[in-house]
Amino acid sequence: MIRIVGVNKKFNSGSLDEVYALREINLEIREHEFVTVIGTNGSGKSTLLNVIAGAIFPDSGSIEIGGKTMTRKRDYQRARYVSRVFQNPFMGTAPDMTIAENLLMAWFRGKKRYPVISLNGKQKSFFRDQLSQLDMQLENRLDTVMKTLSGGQRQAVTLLMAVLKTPDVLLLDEHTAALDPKTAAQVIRLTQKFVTGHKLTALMVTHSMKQAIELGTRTLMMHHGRIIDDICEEERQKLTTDDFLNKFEDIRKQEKLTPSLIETLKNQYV
Amino acid sequence: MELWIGSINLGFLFAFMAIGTFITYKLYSFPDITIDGTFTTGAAVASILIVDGWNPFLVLPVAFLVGSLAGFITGFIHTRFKIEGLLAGILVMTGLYSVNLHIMGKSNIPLISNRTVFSILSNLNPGLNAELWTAMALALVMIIVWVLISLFLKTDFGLTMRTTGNNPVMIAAHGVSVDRYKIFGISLANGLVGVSGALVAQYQGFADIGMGIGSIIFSLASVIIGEAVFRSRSMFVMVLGVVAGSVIFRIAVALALHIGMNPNDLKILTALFVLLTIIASHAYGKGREGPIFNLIQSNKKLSRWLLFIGLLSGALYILFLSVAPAKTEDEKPRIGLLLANQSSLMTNTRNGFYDEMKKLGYRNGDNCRIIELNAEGDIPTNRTMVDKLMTEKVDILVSVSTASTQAAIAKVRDIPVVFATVANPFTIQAGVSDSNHLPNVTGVYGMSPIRELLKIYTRMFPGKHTIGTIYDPAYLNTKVNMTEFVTALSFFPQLTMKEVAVAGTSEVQQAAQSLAAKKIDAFILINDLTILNSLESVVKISRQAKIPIFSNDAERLQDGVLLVYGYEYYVSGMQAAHLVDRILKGENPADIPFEKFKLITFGVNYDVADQLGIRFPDTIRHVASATFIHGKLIKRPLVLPPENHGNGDREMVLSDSASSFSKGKK
Ligand SMILES: Nc1ncnc2c1ncn2[C@@H]1O[C@H](COP(=O)(O)OP(=O)(O)OP(=O)(O)O)[C@@H](O)[C@H]1O
Ligand SMILES: [Mg+2]
Repeated sequence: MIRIVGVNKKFNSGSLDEVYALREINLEIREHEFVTVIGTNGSGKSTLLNVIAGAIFPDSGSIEIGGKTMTRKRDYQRARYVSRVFQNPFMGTAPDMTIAENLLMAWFRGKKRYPVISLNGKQKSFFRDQLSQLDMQLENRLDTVMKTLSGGQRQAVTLLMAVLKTPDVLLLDEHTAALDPKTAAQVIRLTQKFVTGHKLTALMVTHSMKQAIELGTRTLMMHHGRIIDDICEEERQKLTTDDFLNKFEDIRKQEKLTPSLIETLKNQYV
Repeated sequence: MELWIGSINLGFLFAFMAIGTFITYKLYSFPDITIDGTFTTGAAVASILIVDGWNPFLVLPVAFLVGSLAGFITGFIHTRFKIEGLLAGILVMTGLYSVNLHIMGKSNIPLISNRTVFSILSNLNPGLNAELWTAMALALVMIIVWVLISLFLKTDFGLTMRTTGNNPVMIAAHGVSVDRYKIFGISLANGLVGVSGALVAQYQGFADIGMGIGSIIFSLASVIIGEAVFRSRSMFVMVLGVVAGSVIFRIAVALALHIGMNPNDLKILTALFVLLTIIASHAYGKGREGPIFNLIQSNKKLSRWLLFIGLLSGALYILFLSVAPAKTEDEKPRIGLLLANQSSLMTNTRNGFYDEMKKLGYRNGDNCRIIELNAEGDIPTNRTMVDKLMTEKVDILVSVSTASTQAAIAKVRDIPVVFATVANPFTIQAGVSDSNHLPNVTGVYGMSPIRELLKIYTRMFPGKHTIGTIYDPAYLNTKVNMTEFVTALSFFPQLTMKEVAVAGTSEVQQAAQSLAAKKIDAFILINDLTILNSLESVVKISRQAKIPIFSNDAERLQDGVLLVYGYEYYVSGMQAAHLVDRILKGENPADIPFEKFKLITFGVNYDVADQLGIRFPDTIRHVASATFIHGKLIKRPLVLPPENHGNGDREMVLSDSASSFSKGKK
């Protein structure tokens, strides 16, 4: 479904604060794979997702989605195939529009928008059904302005919007990080339900080791712009959180990780 | 009554512009300044096409297209080159100034004798008050526009447009090219502004290069008023609010004029109002911290109430004014005096008018009433002031300057209009000849006597010379005067002219410098407001480079000019007073021919002559009617020459010339 070959991305190239955000990334993700991505701060996880979504163009390398070359396609041109949920719950919805209007915008993802009014009763009842899946009593608040919802509710609606028109690829970038644990768990449940329900190909960045192992079918570990580990389904099933940490140790032994990194990883993931 | 309905009509016409600003400001969160230019562009395109014989309704879609093209350019610059919207707007607006001048070919296009949307409309009038009939027709149009725009913003396309402004990141993630929608929205907004300009030009009877200046602030004020009055999320209510805001704003302007406020103060009040409302809405919206914000927030209810009470009392006051019978103070004549700005041309004319009226036995406030208004340089205001004078039930209207006269004759048909200090009444279609003119209009006019000035120059400096001149093509009168200048030059083959055009007073010094560098022998200055207002810059260069200045402006002799030959605008006012007197005594303005200015001042400055090492020949010394010597100005008293005496001064100077200029030009 996704094929990334030899992708490099440098920020502020040539200047003092030059950052190598992605180095020689080669990655192939098959259809219906649900990949979780972990790594330290600044290791390039968001950049990887941005490159797939087309919000950022790589300096070199190529990107294929669903068999089509997308390297030079802008984000809005890829939106037909790729949908995304951001970390910031305020980024995924239009605050001054109603829930129904937001859903309509998502319903038209990747399609042409005409000067006709299609937000009619039928459309609304369809949205109502969809909203009831969230289990947040939002189905009766279609005409509520988005900004009056809580962060968790907004993130749930964003998630629904991302899958409303089934995408080929779903990108989730720490989409629960800004939520309280209870709401986060709720959104994670929804994520699982949608991804398995629609049989989506998904990439999910997370800082929770638990999520990384429990969710999905495959886990990538990133560091300094590289994918330093790629753990497949079978291997993952045998892993516990501790095993994961030991894995970090192993990597250190192979001199891929510095002691300070282990420290940060431990702090972040346990 | 006229004043209020007139301002409702203006409000309707400006509502198109306000809706444009609503789109850029409320949907895309930046006020698009391009509209200051686009408004004029719409007016310019409409006017030249109407003069060209186009159907006045057909020019509206053309104005829309041209306006949206300007908007497209702003949108393109803004999105493609990632230039801030405000800056992109300023860039395009600045560029549009030149474009507009090119489209118009001159700075002002009169439309009063052309078929306009409003003349067609008035032909269909079943016999109602003209403004009321227009208001009814416009109200119908506004309802249609309101419904269409609101519906459009509710369509899938319109919703996407709104989301593009509300959350660009999110909508891009859903497959929308934010740039394209933004460009579309800015184009649509400017298209509407173009239509607004085209309509206002037809309504006020002319297009003028300066008519769009400051539009953005007025437009913002309308949007903000609308928002404050109609608080709602519904598109229908919001767009209605914008239309209402535009009308309320225009009524507020009329009200301010009505209570005698200076239009100059109106501008700072508008600016302050917009500022305060924006601060307030920030405080409402984002829960900001700080003493002001806290105050506003804690008084949210109070301020809403204050606003409501303010608007209500304003409305009641207007209602009272329009219902209350106009105070027709006994029988004394009421004279409306309308000035375009505060320049010396205006004030001298005004003083001459007042003084001569007194001599003729009219004592203001006693046996007559003179109601004076000044548009303070804002062109559309002239129109509102004419409306205001109509509500004052004046018996006669005196308009000083071309802009005021244009506004007056476009509107007033049933009371006499006497103009003064107009260069050429024929270009503004007040008439076709001195005796064949609009039946209710007469007045005093005259083009700068440039040919005579050149004559004096060649008399002082015989032989081949290069002369230089500076002018600002943005003024209608300048265009007229320059054409005269070029024609006059053909009589003096020994003179070569170098001319420099400027846009505004700040460019004048450079222009003078560039002429000095071209080794000109003299500056010959026509009457151009920009140059008159920055004469000091020319004088500075004149002193440095030892180049004398000859000017058509009689009033600046003492300011470093070597020689002046020009009209006394004080006398223009005196002449106007005599015309007013004749009309009040029962003469029909249709039978009173237009008059030329009667008094010319020929002034010489001995101090400047000394500095430049120039000696005036005796022929000139003896005929000069004003001299400046040892820092003192000596001038003959300004009196009107007796009837049929002709131009005494002129003849004195030019008596020995073969051709007689005193016959005047056709
Ligand atoms: N637009 C940008 N301009 C400059 N540098 C950037 C930009 N975006 C990311 N970077 C840099 O690139 C590197 C990778 O950033 P990225 O956001 O991909 O990290 P991440 O793995 O998502 O980190 P986190 O866990 O904190 O979200 C970081 O050093 C970051 O500072
Ligand atoms: Mg990140």
